Amino acid sequence: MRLGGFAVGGLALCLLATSCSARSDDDLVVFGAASLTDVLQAAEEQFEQDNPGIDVVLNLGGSNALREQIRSGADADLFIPADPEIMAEAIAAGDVDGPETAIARNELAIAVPAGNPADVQSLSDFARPELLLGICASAVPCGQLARAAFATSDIDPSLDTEEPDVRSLLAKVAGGELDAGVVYISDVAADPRVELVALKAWEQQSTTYVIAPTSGATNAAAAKRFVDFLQQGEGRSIIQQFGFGSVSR
Amino acid sequence: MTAPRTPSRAPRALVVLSLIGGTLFVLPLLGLLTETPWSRLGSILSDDIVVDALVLSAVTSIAAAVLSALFGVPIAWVLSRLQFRGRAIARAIVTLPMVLPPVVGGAALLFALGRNGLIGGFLNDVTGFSPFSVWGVILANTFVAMPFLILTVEGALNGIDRRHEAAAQTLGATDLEVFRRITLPMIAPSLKAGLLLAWARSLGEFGATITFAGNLQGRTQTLPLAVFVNLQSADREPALAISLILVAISLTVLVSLRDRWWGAR
Amino acid sequence: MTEGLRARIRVDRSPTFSLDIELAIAPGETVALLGHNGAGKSTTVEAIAGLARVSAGQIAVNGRVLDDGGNIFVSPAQRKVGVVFQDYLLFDHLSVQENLGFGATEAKATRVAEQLGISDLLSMSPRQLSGGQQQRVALGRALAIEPDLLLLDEPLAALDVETRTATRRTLAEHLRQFQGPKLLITHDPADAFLLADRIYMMENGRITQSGTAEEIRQKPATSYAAAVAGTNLLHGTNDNGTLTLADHPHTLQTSDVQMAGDVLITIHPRAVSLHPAQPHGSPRNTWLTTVAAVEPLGDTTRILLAAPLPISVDITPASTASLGLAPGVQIWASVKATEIRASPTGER
Repeated sequence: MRLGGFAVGGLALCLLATSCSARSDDDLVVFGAASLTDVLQAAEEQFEQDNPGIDVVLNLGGSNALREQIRSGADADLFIPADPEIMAEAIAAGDVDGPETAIARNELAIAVPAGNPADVQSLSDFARPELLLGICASAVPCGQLARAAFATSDIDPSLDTEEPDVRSLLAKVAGGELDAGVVYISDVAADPRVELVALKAWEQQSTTYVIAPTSGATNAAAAKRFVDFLQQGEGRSIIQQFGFGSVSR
Repeated sequence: MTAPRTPSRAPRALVVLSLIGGTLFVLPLLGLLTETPWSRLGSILSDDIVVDALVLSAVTSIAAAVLSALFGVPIAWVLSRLQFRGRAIARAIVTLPMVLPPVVGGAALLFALGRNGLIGGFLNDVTGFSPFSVWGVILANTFVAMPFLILTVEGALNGIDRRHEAAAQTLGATDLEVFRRITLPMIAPSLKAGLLLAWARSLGEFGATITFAGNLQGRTQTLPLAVFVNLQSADREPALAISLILVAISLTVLVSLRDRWWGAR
Repeated sequence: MTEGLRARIRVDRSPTFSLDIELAIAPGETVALLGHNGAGKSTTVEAIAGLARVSAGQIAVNGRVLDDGGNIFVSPAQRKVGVVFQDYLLFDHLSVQENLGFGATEAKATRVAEQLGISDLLSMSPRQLSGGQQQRVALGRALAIEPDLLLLDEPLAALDVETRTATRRTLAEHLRQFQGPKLLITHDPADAFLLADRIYMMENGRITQSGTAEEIRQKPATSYAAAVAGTNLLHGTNDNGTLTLADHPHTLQTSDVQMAGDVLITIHPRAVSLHPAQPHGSPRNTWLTTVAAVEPLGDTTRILLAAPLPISVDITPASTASLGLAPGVQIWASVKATEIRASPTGER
């Protein structure tokens, strides 16, 4: 009984305190779009090697979800959404300090299972009703871009699913459950199980990743150094290495 | 331990703990209510996304509950009444979806019934079945919901006085008649409870559905999927409105059916 | 004889218990299987009803073999053996009418209800019925299938003492109307004596004696039969608790005041106590008598009393010695009014 009581009491104290693992001052907390997962993990490793004493902490997720966390007071130093409009809104709301810096570009691509069994050649194949086809949900940037691509190409897609994020769409294509999916070009490069079918130039849509410190950032010096690293330092070549387009300065 | 000189003490502790625990359920509900865009609720609720998801959820959750009963009652009967090797394993397998993360369940369904799954290709050739359909949603829902019905009904089958079945036999009833005219009416209260549990589980089902059947408005986007997808968008109001619908429907059904079915207890 | 029930039942339940009995019941005959709990009565019911298989032997009704321990096994549904179960096992989710008609047509159910006098209960739920009414519905349900054999498993055990005697009388009437063989399973000697034409005494899975009630009373073959036979049975008339005996110049007081008219009176031999002097206190039945005989029965001694009331009394050997009991000794006998049971005789 006594020991159990102590355990419960300890748990309660821990819950009442703001956090059980308080953040160290040397931490640099980066909120990044899920599509940047591989890039940011590689960048973190390199940056920490170059800057001993700075510990980069990543929080990766859907751009809108991350924006919502910052609005609710999440402890972030840097914000990298996959959609410049989300950044613009966050700056306008005063949650992020502008101006933002563009660090990478991404384009759409068609992912097909190995061997391309349905012989998908272009975005217009998404009008074929006999195929199983997917895009991202309109709620996430990759879905909005895909919708925009269909609209500008005047294609009425025969869709079977709108996945909540690009990774689960990619997984269904990789597993052969879908004949094709509209994803980011960087995702196709990252997954050996799928093949890339390039969009025609007139079908193409792209997005830009922008970075800016939050208004509540506590580690401004480190934040600035990380932005520089991604924009012009070694981070820039890492971004290209993972299939993202570079941004002209 | 001393004698219970203050008998009111233990009950008071129970009441206090129950109140603390209760806030865990009430606070999120209040949070949802305060976030809800009440003034624009009418127009949001008549939105295509909301209406489509509502209709789809109603159809698929009821279908899943009915299918759970259609196949779950015989499974429960077999588990309860037949002696066979591996019965414990069989029981564990049919109740596995209760503990399995639904996403894993959905993935497992894909490995079996997806186009490249164990029998999925054959199934598609013969019946035209595709996971990305209403049937896929119903299948995923049934997969996660049926264990609740099986457990409830099997417990009831083990609990009834089986001599009534013997009495019916001596009156000339065949085994199937005994089941239909004696066993089934005797377990009716538990069957209803199992149906309600299975339906409730189906209505809230998310992980297996989105993994197995995907997410397409009007075809496979049920209420929970619509909430999840729209919570990620910049405009969260449809998600909040749908959440409110889910809460309202669930509370109404749970309150009214619970009272009607178990109120006499 | 191929008419009626012919059964040789052997069931090997466990290394420590086996059932091995032979039964024969003629059409119209009521036979009681009388034994303690654990004697094998339930196993017998299950075997005859078809709810369990026999290990060896043969059960046949009117020449039709139901189970031979080998290839032949007729399912309970096909046996046409009507069973009245111990606690009746009525179907609570069905009305009385639906219970009666469960294995029969509605017309038969209605006719049986009229015969048993339960037509006014048809629309009720079994849950609303008294114990005696439930028993009649259970009997009606079994009779409605027009069975070849009627099997009654402790049909009165679920009832309280007051209703038991009344229900036993109506049961006797209804049993007489059924023309097939009837097997009554019971642990209560009163049931056997009052309802059956013939009695099988059953102990440890074997039949130890069979015969009419009179034959068993006169020559009990085992100590169990002796205990059963020792139950003192007297005929008389009951007038508001005062019993005037038919064959002896004596009256007794009973607490069964409501059973008026001709009654069968039972006094258990252990219920009678013997005293050297006239006892004071509660017993309302006290009389001076003479010891007619002293029979040692192992751990008890049976004292046979002479006039005015020749009954058996079971006491311990120690009491026999301390009271100095021997034939011719004068002694006071007493019985509480609550220990003297009066049951309607019917027309027996």
